[in-house]
Amino acid sequence: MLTREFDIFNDVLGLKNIVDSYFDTNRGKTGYPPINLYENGDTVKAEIVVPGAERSDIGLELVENTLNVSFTKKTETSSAEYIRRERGSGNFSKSIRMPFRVNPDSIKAELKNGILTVSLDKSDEAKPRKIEIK
Amino acid sequence: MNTALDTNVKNSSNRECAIIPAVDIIENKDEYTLYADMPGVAKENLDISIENMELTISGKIEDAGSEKPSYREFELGNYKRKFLLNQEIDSEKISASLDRGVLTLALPKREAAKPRQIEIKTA
Repeated sequence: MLTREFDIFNDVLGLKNIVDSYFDTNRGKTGYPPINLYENGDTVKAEIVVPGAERSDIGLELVENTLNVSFTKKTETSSAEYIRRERGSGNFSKSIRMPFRVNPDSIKAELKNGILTVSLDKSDEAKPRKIEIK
Repeated sequence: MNTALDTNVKNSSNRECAIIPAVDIIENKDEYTLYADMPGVAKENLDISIENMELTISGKIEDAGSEKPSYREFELGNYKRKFLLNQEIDSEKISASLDRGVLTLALPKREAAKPRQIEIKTA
């Protein structure tokens, strides 16, 4: 059995960097999984960070203009001796309101490299309409 | 001197910014297994190298930040992390795979380092 030196500074420093890398300026206030929204004219795109997720681990739902996402982060192995554990696991869920009314039929979602990208078009009612003056 | 795997948090000399990926490290009698969350990294942009006994994992993100988000909770960037391997690990037999944004590294132990039962003979 090897003896291991426990260096507390290594662990504390590692933890701070993990937290910083997930939460940018809003340290810890925004919850997990982190989401970015990109607006591009008449479409909105949401990028959600879900490392290790298969499609069955993610729940995605659109309720009016709110996107609800749930994510189960599994550990790869249950009965094992962890000598370092930083990644965390568990069930997470989050809701985010779209910046404008969206057309639910236009929703598209793609999972690639641990990032879920959801894109939505603005609903027709939300687009500006020209009003003709007689 | 006897730490199994050590994190080396060094800034490289040309001041590149990198995110340190979170890792889980598991040990069993035959090998260590390391899992690192590196979302956004594709296999062709992943680099794993060993120099002396130092293992470096680095991953690049393509199209980083070309669009500006209207609402931002995270920022993707290139990943980098170094580890100091110990003598137990057979560095020639290390294997890696990347799936769904998670890197899995298998670090087998040298035969001599594995636990062995020593038979006691009675006279």
